[in-house]
Amino acid sequence: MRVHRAGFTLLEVLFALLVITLGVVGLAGTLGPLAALAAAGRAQGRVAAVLESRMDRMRLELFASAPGCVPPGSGTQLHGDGVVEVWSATARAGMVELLIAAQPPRTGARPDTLLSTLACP
Amino acid sequence: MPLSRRGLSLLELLVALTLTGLLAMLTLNVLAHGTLHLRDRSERMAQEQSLRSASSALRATLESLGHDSAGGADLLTQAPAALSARAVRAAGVLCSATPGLLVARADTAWWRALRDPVAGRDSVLTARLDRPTWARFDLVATPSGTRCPDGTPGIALPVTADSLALVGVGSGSPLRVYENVELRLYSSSPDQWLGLRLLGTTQAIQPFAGPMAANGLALSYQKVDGSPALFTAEVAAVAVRLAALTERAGGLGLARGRAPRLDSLDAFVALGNPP
Repeated sequence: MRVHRAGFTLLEVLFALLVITLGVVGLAGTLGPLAALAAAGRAQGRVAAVLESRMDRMRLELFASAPGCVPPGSGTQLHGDGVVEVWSATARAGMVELLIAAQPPRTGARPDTLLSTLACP
Repeated sequence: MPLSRRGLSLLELLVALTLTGLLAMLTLNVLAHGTLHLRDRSERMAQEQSLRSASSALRATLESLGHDSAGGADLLTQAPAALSARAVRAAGVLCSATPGLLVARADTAWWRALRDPVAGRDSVLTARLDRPTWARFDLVATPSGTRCPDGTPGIALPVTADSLALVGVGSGSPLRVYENVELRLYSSSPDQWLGLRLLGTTQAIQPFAGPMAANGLALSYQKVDGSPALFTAEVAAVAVRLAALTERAGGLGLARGRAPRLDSLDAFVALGNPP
């Protein structure tokens, strides 16, 4: 029986190496979206922190107006980490409605809004 | 098929080796940068997690605090990078109060606990029904299961309370089981960590966030009107600034010797029951 001894040519081996290299480079390219996701997560966390903090400030401001019921003032603030927040309050039948919106610095993260109601103190 | 026994020329081999070398260099370069990038991102995520943990712990500690004329301020001490306070471990409603023994309703609709109360470590605050203040008692023995006067399940809390101290306390009184905790920045060479110490125990401070920057915790205490509060009884809110570092200890290859990166987070927490 004749043994078939033909192997790969040098050109075939080089071509295979090129394909493998392109694969590895492509795999490394997936790290970019991962980094973007992590950055978006950070921005989203900052937005949540801004909303919580503003809510507490407005609650305290309303508490300070006791025994009256003066709604906290409206405003806009740009924070050091790039989050922009806008807030307002409206008095309504013994209650105060709060609306707080925060815009993250990166387009990858979503803006968020908090709508809450506080009873007059 | 006749087998060709012609080998490769030196020139062919050199070209092949050069191409292989170039591809290897390209692959190595991409992988090295990818690894470094991934490591950096992972460290930044850990840093962000540290900041969030620290912020959540401070918020959870401060939000439940308050003040009244009998129980005093729940915030026990205030400092620029540390505070101590009563941390609530359980809350419920009493079904009976007799000298030396409080009984709380054990039904899950009435009793909420992070852990079981511990004698010698926890204290109890119960609201008086005849006036808006709280009475404070030390828990002197291990709580046990019992029955309320109406036959429903109860938790017996042995406390240091005589009949005079129990005036105004009775069935329906809200109850808080708390322990004193200290939250502060401390140094564990070479890094700074944010840690929690249980003041009723001999346990060493336990880290829960870090590594932090040298000034990684800055607390600013405010009155209701926003002016600085000098005494704990005046504190209505706390402005918090946290600064954390990335870990770079023992970096390898391209990561070796990189300086830690700094990130910060600001928060404002109002006490649940401000003075």
